[in-house]
Amino acid sequence: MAEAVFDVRRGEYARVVRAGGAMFAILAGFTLSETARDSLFLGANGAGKLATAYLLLAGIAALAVAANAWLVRRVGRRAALVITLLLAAIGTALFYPAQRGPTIALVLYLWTGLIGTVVVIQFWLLAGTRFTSAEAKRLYGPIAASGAVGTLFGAVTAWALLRALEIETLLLVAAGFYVIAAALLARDNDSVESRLRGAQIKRRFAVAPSKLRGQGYAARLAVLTVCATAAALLADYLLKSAAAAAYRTDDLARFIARYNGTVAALSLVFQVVGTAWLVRKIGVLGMIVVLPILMLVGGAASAVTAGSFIAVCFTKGSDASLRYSVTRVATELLWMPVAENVRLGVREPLESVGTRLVQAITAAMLLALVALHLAHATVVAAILTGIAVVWTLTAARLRSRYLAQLRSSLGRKAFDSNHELDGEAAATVVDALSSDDDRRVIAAIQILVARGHARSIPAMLLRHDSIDVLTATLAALTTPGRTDWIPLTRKLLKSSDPRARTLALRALGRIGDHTAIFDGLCDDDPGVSAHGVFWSLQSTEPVAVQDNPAVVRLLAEAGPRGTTGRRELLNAIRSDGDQRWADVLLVLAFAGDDETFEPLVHAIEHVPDERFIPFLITRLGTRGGRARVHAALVAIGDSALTALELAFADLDTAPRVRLHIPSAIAVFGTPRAAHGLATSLSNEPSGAVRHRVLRAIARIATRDEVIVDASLLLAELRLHLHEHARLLALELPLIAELDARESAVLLRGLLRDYISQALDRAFLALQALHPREDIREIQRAIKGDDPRARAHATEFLDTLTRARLYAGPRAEGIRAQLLVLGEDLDARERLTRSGWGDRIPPSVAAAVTQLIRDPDTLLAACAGYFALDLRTPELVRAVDEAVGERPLFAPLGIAHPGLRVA
Amino acid sequence: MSPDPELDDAGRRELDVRVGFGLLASEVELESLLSIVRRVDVARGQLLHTRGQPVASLFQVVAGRVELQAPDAPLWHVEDGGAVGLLDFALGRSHARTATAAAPSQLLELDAADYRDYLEDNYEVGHRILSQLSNRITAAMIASRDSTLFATSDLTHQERSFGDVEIPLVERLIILSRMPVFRGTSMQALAKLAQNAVERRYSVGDVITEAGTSPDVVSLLVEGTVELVLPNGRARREGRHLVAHLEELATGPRSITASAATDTIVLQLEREDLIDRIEEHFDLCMTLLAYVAGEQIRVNNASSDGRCRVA
Repeated sequence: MAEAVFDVRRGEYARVVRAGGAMFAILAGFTLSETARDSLFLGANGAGKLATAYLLLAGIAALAVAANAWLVRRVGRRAALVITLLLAAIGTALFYPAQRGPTIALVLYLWTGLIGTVVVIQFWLLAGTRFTSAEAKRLYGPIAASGAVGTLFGAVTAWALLRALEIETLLLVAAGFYVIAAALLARDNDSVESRLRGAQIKRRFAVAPSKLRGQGYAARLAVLTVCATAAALLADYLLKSAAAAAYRTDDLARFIARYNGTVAALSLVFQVVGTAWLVRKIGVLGMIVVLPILMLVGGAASAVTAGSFIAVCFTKGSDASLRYSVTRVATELLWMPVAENVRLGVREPLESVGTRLVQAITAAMLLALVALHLAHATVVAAILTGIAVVWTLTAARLRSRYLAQLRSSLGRKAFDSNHELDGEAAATVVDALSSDDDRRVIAAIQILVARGHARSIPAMLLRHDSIDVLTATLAALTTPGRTDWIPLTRKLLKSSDPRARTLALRALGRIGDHTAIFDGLCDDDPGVSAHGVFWSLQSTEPVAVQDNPAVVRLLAEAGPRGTTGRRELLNAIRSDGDQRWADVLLVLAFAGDDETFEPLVHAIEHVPDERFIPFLITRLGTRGGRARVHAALVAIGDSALTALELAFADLDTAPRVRLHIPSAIAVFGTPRAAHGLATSLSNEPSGAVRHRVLRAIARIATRDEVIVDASLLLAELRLHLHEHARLLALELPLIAELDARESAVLLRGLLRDYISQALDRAFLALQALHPREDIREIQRAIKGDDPRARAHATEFLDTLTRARLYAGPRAEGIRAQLLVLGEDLDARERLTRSGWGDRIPPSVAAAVTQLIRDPDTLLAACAGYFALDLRTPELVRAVDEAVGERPLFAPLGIAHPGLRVA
Repeated sequence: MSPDPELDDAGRRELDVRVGFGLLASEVELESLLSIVRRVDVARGQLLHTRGQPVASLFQVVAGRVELQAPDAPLWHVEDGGAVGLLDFALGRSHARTATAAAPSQLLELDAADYRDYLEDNYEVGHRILSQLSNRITAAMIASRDSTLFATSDLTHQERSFGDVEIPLVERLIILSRMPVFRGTSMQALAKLAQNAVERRYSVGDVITEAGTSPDVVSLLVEGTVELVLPNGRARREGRHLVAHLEELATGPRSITASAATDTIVLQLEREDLIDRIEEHFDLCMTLLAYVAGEQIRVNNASSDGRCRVA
């Protein structure tokens, strides 16, 4: 029965039983002492003194919590809780012989309140070190349910004992329960940290997460706690005031026992069937709004009915039955992704001192109301309603913060690569200009230019003897309004290095220095002379440059001089050319000279023309210069995109070219480009091309934040998740019996690749669906060996896939399959839970038989090859049949030897 | 060591990154690298990582000196411009040595997982690292004048002889999967390489690759023995290995001539094809890097003064 409701797995029982047993004993003991406390206090002091008790309790509890924190630091969390429980047992037992009276009742009230505050918080904080968030999601339910059973048991025991014995007897029994809890926890030394130790410890040198990082989220959780605390106190006041007015001391004790029993029973029901169901159905974020909404309804009803007994019972009952079940589990899960230092820095003070402070303020407010004769149920309930409104709104708006927190718990810090240089940083970079290391000087120039500090680069750098430094310097200095570089650049025209002369000519040509251009035309070096030709034409009125004799000669010249000249002409066009040079570029494109290919494409990018499109598309098949080809196609614009789409749709396009078209389309980064790619997915026959298309879509989505048609992507996501599950099922029998033959190794290896590839593709589709999320980090966490990161990633996916997008029939099964990926389960169990259990073949032969018929020809061939080794009649028949239908072994380059079993 | 990135001097960091990685990365690639690199100053004696610890960070030494120690192994030290942690990262294992700053040092630190992502996104950087390391290792092996570093005779499997039979695709696949240089590569990547590989047969004395040329193929020895003529010695290679050892993965003019010492079968992969496969199957890049890292360890251990460029 328990297994059907709770998902407790092998190896977890001992931990759950210990934690659940301790929770049972703690809450049974607390309920017993609380019943005694409330009846003795209300009997001796009446409801009027409640506000004073709350206030005192708040102050004393703050001190007690501080003492407890000291104890935790000294002896550790577990030992501190054990010691606290033992002290609670002794202290509670000491009240048994004490004389009844207002003072003793008040002291008992405070003592029991202290136990409730310190012990329960410490228990859950200890649990946080025992379970990962994935475990917590499954196991906090049964643990909290044990607590609810404990509360129910305590209430029933109190009710039974009060029929024959005095109220004080309850205190002795409560002390006994505290001792049992201490004994159970004393044996629990299985920290989650020890299990995480094997996982990779990241970033030894990386910055510890700042206390401030994650505090925005933590602040919202703090608001929830503050509202919950204040609302609980007001609801408690409302109920106890109503009960004190309605019952005498002995009847009051029985009422409280009955009330506690009812509430505990409800809490138990929620815990056993409600919490696990709610986690699955509405998730953590849904669970956290349940209680505030009920309190809002109850508070409003109490205010409207002037504190009717039913309304206040409902309000307090909601709090009491949900606080330690649904809300507690949700709260613990919400705190899980918060960094340990933030948790220590925010949560502990919040739940100890913070809640006491809130109680003190609420109690002080109640005291003030009492003093002003305003402590009517209507007023108190109205205040409670207001608090519940804030509580509900804060809880309802938590989604984006929660996702961000999960994201940051997985993500790594990226450094700003586009920062502004402050004074000190700029000075460091300027200092580097005088470095002996040319690379450092160039780096400094690049940084200063990129950050808009080019004016800090001195013209004297043109005296540098490194051609690379000169290139970078001239590029940086030749900006409008600056002239100090001209004299030194003119001197460079006399340099013995033709590269320096070229640089100088280019810079001076731009400002129309005719002397420099003339010198260039007369230069012996073919490269410098080509720049001279370019600038001589560039500085004249528009003419048909392709007919210019100097250009014609340059294009026709053979040998290395011709190549150098053409390359430099192209370099000149790519820097300063205009549309007049398009025909020259076309001539060079048709010439098909590989040595000038890169500067040619670069020049086309500068002088775009539709006539280059066929040439550029063909060149996509060559790796060298592909990035430049992409840029040139983008420079040409929509007509290039259309041509790419047509070439991609044409299955006769050279496969190597076709393979690279998706990434070329992705560079356009437009909705049209993304949509075209997404549409092609549904009928793309090649797996390799599909992969490229998915990558291209994911790139457009993340880089350009383009929204892609979700239905197409959902179909793709579903397809790959199904493929992943299908192949995983087929792999299971093969890895259950590890065959060492080459054919088996081959088949297993290929199958594993395809399984991994299917998952990669599924995550690519997910990335395209959620361009602003770092899905790769999620994927890494899911595949990694860190259980805590995996749990956070799963929780992230859980929250992400609660969006409406995943609710329709087109997304059926996606959520379940994604979530099961992060579960700590073996493959068989994982498949079973995601509904693929019945697809697992019963034997190796059955798996191989299915694989022989796989649509992937290589996989089918490898399966057939393994079948040849296995040689069972069933497999021989399967191979024979498959060979009759298609050339099964063609992908492996072998002929079918015509198998027959003797 | 500065524990706070806010104190990290942005200008110096960018300078150091551009100087350290500028040759291996384009402007765009540098930009994404800048987002994952931080600069740390470490005092003498500061521990960077201990032996057995998983690789969480890689370091580039901007200035200073880092020592790497392991029991029963020669001491390595890395100085300006050198890399620490790259070999263990490439081999996908925990740190084999404890690294300590032997002098006050300035380092660039990269998160290992971020760096892996960076290489995956910028596969050409991975290829450039591979080829640069191969160039350097080959040069260091030649400079050591120890020609045994090039020699192989480890026939780990009793290999089947193909004689005059053309090697079927499935056998090519099995051959590639057993080659140390491709150990761990996905079957899918190997299948594509096997499909595109060209089988060449050489008779005794035929030259397979010649010093001074820049072949655009990677030659894999399948059967027979090749003789390498080094600038300062000779070595023989047999078994299923790269013909001219790491020079096959390097770019630029060859310094080694490889010729057939017996009848020899070679599978040749076009370099372009190999790079395309690296782009499609990142695991291939990491496998090749792991192989090169293994050879770098041999070179480091053979270094007389323990000075290493990459550790």
